[in-house]
Amino acid sequence: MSQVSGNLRHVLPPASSTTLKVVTFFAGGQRCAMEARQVRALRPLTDEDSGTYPAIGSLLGLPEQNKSCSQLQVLTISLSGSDVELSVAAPVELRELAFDLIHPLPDLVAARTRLRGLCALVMETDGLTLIFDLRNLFTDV
Amino acid sequence: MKQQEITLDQVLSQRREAIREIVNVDEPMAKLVIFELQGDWFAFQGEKIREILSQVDVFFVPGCPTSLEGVINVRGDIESVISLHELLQLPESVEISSSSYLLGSGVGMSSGIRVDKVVDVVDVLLSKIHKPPTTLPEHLRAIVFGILQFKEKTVTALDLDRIFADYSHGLG
Repeated sequence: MSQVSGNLRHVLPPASSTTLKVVTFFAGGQRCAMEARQVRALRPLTDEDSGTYPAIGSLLGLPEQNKSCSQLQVLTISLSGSDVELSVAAPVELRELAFDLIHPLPDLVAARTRLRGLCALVMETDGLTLIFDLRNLFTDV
Repeated sequence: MKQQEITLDQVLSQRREAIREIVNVDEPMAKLVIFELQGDWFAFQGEKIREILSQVDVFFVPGCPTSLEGVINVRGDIESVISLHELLQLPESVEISSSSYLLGSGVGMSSGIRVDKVVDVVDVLLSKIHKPPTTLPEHLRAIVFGILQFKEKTVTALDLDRIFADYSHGLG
């Protein structure tokens, strides 16, 4: 049986090998992401569903973009035991982000952003991804 | 060749002058980063500017005021980029491809600041930095800590701590 050391550094993997699972989506023309552990389900939006779910972009404070029903999906988010369903534009993907790619918001962005729940940025060669903390989002709404 | 003769008085006078000059060097100095915005010259204290960058890619961040132009990657760290034009009530620069970026720190915050051009980094005597005149426009009073002359131009020295603090509270 392996012995667990009292020193956390022996238990946690090195930061460079740590990844965060996120669900990525586009809102307001911007690539966004949220922690995958906050997402419970994803399903296509049907004609019967249309208009009954709030768009995630408008909740985040991003400009709305008209998408046809076939391009929309319903994302079920689990927060504090209750589920919230939001419409989100496809493609919605599960990704693993390397620890080193995730940056806290620069001070002035944190102070001045009007986006609700924005908590981190990922800068990759093909552009920026905004990471939202949905707990903050539903506290603010 | 005949050597030029000099009197003892002249020798002592020149020696005293040389000593006086050495003493003058000890006068408190300030390092200033002087930059240009719309033809006007401004300066930040040198110790507030970590680095001067050019040719950087600025990534737009939605949901921010227009003066917060986006973020840049500085060797793996992300920094915001602000423009001071609005804060200083100057017209926005048309040509930004030739801009430079000052990486500034103050009041526990850091950010890039886009300027039209970096003029110089100089050491100036503190005594050459004068208190701002009482006629200074209202919007500059809180953020200007001094005025000086450099290369026959007036340089307005700005308080970066105050700018960051005010900016984070919604100014500009």
